[in-house]
Amino acid sequence: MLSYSLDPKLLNQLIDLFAAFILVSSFLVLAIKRLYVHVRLYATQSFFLALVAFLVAAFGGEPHIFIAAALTFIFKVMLIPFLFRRIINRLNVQQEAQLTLNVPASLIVAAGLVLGADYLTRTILETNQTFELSRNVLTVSLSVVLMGLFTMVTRKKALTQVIGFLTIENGLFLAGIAITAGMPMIVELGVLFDVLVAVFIMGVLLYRINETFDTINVEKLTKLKG
Amino acid sequence: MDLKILGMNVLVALSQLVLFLLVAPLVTGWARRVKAFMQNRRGPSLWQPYFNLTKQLRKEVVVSENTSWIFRFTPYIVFTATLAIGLLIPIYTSFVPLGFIGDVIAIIYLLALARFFMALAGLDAASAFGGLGSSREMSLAAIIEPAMILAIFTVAVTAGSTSLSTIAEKMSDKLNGWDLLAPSHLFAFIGLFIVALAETGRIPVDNPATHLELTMIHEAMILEYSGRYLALIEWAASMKLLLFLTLLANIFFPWGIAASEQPTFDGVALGLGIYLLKILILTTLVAFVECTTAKLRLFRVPDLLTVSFVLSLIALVLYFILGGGASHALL
Repeated sequence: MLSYSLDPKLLNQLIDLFAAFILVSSFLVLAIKRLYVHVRLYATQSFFLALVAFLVAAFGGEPHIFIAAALTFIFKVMLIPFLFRRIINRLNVQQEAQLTLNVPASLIVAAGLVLGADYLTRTILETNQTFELSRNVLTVSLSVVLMGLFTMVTRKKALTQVIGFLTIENGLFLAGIAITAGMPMIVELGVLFDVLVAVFIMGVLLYRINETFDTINVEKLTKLKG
Repeated sequence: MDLKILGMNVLVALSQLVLFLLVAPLVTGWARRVKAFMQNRRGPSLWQPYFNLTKQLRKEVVVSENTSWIFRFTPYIVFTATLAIGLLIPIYTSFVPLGFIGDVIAIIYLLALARFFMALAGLDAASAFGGLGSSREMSLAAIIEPAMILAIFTVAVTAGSTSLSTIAEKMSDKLNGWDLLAPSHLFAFIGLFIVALAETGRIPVDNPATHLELTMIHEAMILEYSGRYLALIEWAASMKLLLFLTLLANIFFPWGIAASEQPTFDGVALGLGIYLLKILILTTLVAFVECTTAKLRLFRVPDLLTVSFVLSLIALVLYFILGGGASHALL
């Protein structure tokens, strides 16, 4: 197996490094306003997620994590971004995302969220010292979940909110890998297909919203149509 | 201290002074050269900054009669402050010539001193452009400075010291040195790199090649200067570029720095060679960034700088989350 040919310390470091990249791509979603870049950032984040999953599998987890990593790569790095680009092209929306909170402020709030997540995981880990691998990655995944929520709350475009939702899912996937070193195959598969179907449905929904309201700004959805 | 080591250190200090003064325009020239190459131009000669400096030094100075002594003193203050910083950082040995005066915090304040007088001088001539440049410089500095401090503190926490000499030694130590793969290392580097671009007025923030843009920052402040004053300020600007590149190179990639305890001639020569190579690579990187990014709208610049600030903050946080080993650093 691969786990014997690689130095465990190096592997752990690599996992930490990729986890940090995942964290930073969530930050950049908050920092950059262009929708295409959001999609690319999501793809990048998922790519590093797949790498982490691959390394965890190599680290000595269940072999089926290899399959989960491969599926993550195919679905989240290639298929979902492709679908997103098609949706953006078809909706023909203007590129800049609209925010309820400006970029510097939301970045600083996000930094606060990371600190909060760190505090939270510290308290969780005090109760149980068993997981070694997860200690760092758990903090990152919790921060990613919180930042995904924050993206959903502060961005007005429905499309960016979908990106926020997918970011949350990425964070949960990371947490699942970190804590359990491999959930059952059926769970991984279920979640992946769930996300894929969710993107399909949201795409149709976005298209409908755009057709009815001429915008995908969710604030405008309260307007009555006569 | 042994007399021989003392002599060697004095020699190193003097050579560092000369090197810092003389290589700085070359770095600016090289950055322009790489940019010209990437834009398919022939570009000016590598030695053009030297020609500019010698010509400006010989030229007559024109000073507006409405200005005060601040306008005339500022070029000297900016030049001296930047030169002093050049002696406060380890360049190719871990020995810092002015190390007894201050550490990395002194560097930050010397930069702030130069910036303060630059901004005052911009206001002094009461031209519209100068005031505009000064106000922009100061408002951006409010974000740049904390980002820079946080990025450097990340390194300082790891090395357990704010003395750059100790930092360079600890980092180049193979056993206990900083891991290149450590996430906090990487993010502090990116944070400080953005700070360096902003501080030296490179493209995503400011454009060093033009005077004719309403978005200019640094060039607007020095618009009233001419002759030897302009030469001093431009020399200081290129020293500042070299200074930031040296900080980046020696803090984050501290290979090949000669130890200060027993500086041998071979060690120093090797350190010098590796240092010049590192600067060459980093300058090329800066020119590459300048060619591949578009200049940001002024109102978007704070976004970029906040990214730098948050990256540095994250670097510091990550050091405690992911880096482990926090206990020995705090003691």
